[in-house]
Amino acid sequence: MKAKSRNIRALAPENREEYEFTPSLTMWQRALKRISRDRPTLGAIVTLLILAAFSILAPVISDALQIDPNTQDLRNNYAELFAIGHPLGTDELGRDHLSRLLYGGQISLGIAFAAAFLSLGIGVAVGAFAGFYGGIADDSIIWFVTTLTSIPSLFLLILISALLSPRPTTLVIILSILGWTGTTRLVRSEAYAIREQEFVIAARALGASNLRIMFLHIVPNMFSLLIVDLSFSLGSLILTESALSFLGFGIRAPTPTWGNMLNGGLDYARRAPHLVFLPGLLITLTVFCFFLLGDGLRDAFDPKIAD
Amino acid sequence: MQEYILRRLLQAIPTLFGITIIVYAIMLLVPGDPVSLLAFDPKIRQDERERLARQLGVSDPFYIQYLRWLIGDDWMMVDSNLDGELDAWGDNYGILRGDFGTSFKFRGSNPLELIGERLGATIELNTFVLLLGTSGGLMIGVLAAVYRGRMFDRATRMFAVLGISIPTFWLGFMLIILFGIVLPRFLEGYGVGSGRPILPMGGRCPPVRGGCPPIYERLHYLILPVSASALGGIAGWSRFMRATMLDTINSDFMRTAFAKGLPARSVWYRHGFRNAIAPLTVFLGPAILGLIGGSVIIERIFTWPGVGLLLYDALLSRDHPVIMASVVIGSVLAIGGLILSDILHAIFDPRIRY
Repeated sequence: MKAKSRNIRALAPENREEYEFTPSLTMWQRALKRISRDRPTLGAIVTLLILAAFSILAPVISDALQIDPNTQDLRNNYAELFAIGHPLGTDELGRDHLSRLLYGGQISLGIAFAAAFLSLGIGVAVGAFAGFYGGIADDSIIWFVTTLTSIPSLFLLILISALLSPRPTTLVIILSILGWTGTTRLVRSEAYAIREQEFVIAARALGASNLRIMFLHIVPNMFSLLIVDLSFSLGSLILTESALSFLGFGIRAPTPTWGNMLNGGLDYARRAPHLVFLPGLLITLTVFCFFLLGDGLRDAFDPKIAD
Repeated sequence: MQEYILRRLLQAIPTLFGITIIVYAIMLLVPGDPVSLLAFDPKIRQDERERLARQLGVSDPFYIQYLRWLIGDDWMMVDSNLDGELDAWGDNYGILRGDFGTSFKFRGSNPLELIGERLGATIELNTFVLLLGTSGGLMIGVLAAVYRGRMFDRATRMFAVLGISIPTFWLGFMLIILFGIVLPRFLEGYGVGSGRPILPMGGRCPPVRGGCPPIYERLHYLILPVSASALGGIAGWSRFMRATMLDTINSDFMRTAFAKGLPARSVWYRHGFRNAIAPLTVFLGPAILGLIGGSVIIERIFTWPGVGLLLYDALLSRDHPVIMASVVIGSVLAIGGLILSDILHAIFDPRIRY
């Protein structure tokens, strides 16, 4: 829009001197430019990078501070914040709280990332298939999605988790098997719209196969939508994982996750409130950043918003 | 309209059918067969094991088991005295006729009756949550749209994202600590109060015989659970409301209303607000769905004696008939919510074709 008006202005004789050719920005360049001005989104990105770095470096940091997530020290339990040797205190078994938070972050974030990408993969594949082929395939997939989403998701989730007592890998699979439906709906309706466009007809005329059209022509056209979707699903997966752990049906102790640390801390909240407060704060902060990022990305990719 | 409602109800049948298949498949996928769970004795003989399996009906193929669970087995012959021959009509009526079996934990109780006793509590809690969530959210959303780009709008957007990011159980627990421990102690230090919790920390009413008193005598029991549960709703609704309100602002009828000199207040709240609500009815169904699922969490924190807590207890004691009944009834309620939301949408938005 902007580039066009500039060109028209340039055609007027009095402006001819000023005219300089500026190529219009690609979708990604424009998004990057918008994000670089969007302070809340930038803040969210920085916070998330810091959290991720701390989680990935958990072993290094723990070594450097000589703390360990699983060493028990019953004479030194319920240590306060800033205790000597334990910057964030210790829990009911005298295990170092900082170290457990770091390792817990590794697992909570790891589960969220793995499940988000897996369910995105399932969702894109099924959604592209349904939207591209339409007809009976589409009808039956949509029937299945509607059915699955009509069961209160937490009921289904705690039912499966309670019966299976999952380890991290199992939990990732459970979360993705139940979490792909939103992406499928999104991708399906997009694919339905895109498949009628000229470039798809052109690709078909050039002899491209259906699979090639689906995954090299249609799906790349919704990258921006998918990135936004990924950001929101990362946030909600962290919430879901913590809710499962709170109910006691998530990852079992001693493996720390933010959710089960919070759940474990509830019993000792009077004695050591920081055991409840800190994991909850980290969950809230992480989810908050993912949702902010999702909002920011959606605005950044929105072609309807003028710069 | 009636035709639309009827068709929408008919459409729910295949969905419900699918739900029973999914739920039953999950029940069968559970590792460990019911026979070894019931008979822990390792010395149990092979022929006795087979007899038990026949008695429980778990040796039949999947579709027979599913049919028996769904519509009962009083139409087919079963082996009642376990001699290997089919000799009597079954006595199981199936879930379609309200027979979910009998609870393992509460011996001889019908799961449906157990749920019926607790359904009122869940509906009571969630009605208040929904009312507070929608009214609060709509109000904040409209104001944010009216003051778009100003301080209030920016603060609201941050609040809205934060509101959906806080885990409900954490918020609930923080509220319990605040009103149960921190605030009373603080007030006691200033000579106010006795240091006892300011608000009840859980439950639906004081533990008295003969059930709970009428609702207006125990409203204070609702304050904490409703606040904890409604925050996410307020945040979510305010986001939707702001978006649809901003869509409405650019419509022609709004410009006309301003142009003919109507006071801004009346344009915003009589013309804008009413039209912005219509698209929101779409979100009502998913909101109800979310509340039913979330009731497990909120009822667990505040020991609210509803269906969520029943399901939680049933999961801990592996009370399969009650688990199945809760999930199926929860889904029926959720589908009801989705249909209600569709019907409201059709009523509010005349452009919807029936």
